[in-house]
Amino acid sequence: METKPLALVIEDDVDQNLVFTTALNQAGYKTESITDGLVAQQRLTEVVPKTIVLDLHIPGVTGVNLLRQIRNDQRLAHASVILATADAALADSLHAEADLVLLKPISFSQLSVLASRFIQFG
Amino acid sequence: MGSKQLATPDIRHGSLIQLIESNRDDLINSYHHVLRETLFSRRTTLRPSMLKSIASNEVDVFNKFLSQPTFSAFEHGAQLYQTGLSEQAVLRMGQVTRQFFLAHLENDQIPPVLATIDTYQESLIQGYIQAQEQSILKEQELIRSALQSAIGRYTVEIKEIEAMAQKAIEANEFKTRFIARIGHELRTPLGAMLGITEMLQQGIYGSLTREQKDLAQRIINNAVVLKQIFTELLDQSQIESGQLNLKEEAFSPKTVAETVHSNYLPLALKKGLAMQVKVSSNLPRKIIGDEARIGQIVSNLVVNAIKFTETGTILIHAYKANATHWGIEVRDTGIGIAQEHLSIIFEPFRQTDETSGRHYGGVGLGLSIVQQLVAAMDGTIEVKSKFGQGTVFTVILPLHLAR
Repeated sequence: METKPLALVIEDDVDQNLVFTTALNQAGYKTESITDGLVAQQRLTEVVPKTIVLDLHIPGVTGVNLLRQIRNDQRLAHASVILATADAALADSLHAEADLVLLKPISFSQLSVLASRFIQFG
Repeated sequence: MGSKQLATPDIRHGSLIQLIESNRDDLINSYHHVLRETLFSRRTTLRPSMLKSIASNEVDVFNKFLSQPTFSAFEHGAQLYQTGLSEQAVLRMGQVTRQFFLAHLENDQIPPVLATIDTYQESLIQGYIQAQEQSILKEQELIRSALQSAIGRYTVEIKEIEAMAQKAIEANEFKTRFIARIGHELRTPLGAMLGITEMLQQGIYGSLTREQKDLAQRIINNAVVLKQIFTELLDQSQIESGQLNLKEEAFSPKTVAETVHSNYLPLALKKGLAMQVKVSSNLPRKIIGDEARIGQIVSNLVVNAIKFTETGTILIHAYKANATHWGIEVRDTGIGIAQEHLSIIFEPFRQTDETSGRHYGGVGLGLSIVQQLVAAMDGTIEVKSKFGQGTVFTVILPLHLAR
């Protein structure tokens, strides 16, 4: 049986995290929910996810720092990062470093469709 | 009679007094004459009617000087100053006195009498000058203290005004931060609500009946309205805080117009309205600008047109206005805007009929944002409307051609 690619959903709001996780499950990922920045920082050194959904406002570590950590890690060179934020100005400034920037509120079906493309083409 | 009777040069002699007394009226008239000639050389409360009594008083004082060896004209000089007489008037009266005695005395009597007149004049002038100096000092002191108290008052007022201005600036900054923060904080739970409702609707947790699906769709529709309101609030606060960064990228104005048309066509059709889009062939295919923000301008105008139109057609028209500008026009056949309301429609949080908030929805930011975006792009917006006869919004933007 084909193993599903791993997706990390880093989002401190548990309801929002549930929506993201479900959307990525539906898109064909095996998912891991993380609601704390420090846990995310640690976990990113242990696993090689195919896709990372990253909320920019999480407790512990700033989302921007997590993004830099991912981009500086050779192991994660093939990971796709989907930024999820409510901050349009911040989202604008990080466009170049992310594979996809989604402005909250994010549609469940939209996220599911977009995330599935990373499995197909990414 | 007259000077011949004056036997000795005793200057304080009664015969001098007698000479004056017997020519009193002439002397008073002479004084009066020069006083009239030299009346106003400084600002004074002196009235012409007072001159006669000053002239006659001068005769009395001089007589007193002649009769009382200890009398000094110093005080008299000060009084003349207080009365308001000019220096010139005082000097001219002295000349009159001299001429009077020159005319009435024998030659040998003249020198001692002139010396007496000089003594009189000298102390009189000293008195006058001292009073003048004191008056000037007093005036300067008054001006200085008035200035000081005015400066003190204004300093306090300026500080108060500065404090008020600072408070107003802080309140406005707080409002901007507050809106940004609230908008931001509301988006996360709203996102969760939307997402979870979509999950339910898609049957991830078991299939729904038709009615349940319909209810889920209603939740989504309402959440989308909320989302739109937050977006407008955030845009408004971003514009107010000067954080609006417009992009300068090549884009197709035709695509923008057509995208807005297709995005809002379902909404128009649902209301039974027709909606058309027209792109003039003279409009360049690619121009430079902020595609998303221009799309937002047209969308807001179209949403507005749909909102206030009950029957008829909405037309979006993009065209080249002239060599340097292009235009987008949104025309509707709606209720129109009364002439007296045309000036307020661009103010934030305003709707022409305050009760219309109930009928038409929205927080009243759409047109305000449009106007501010257009201004930020160095464009203009014009509205033509008559109540009951539809409305035309025309946005004119600088035309920057893409290479």
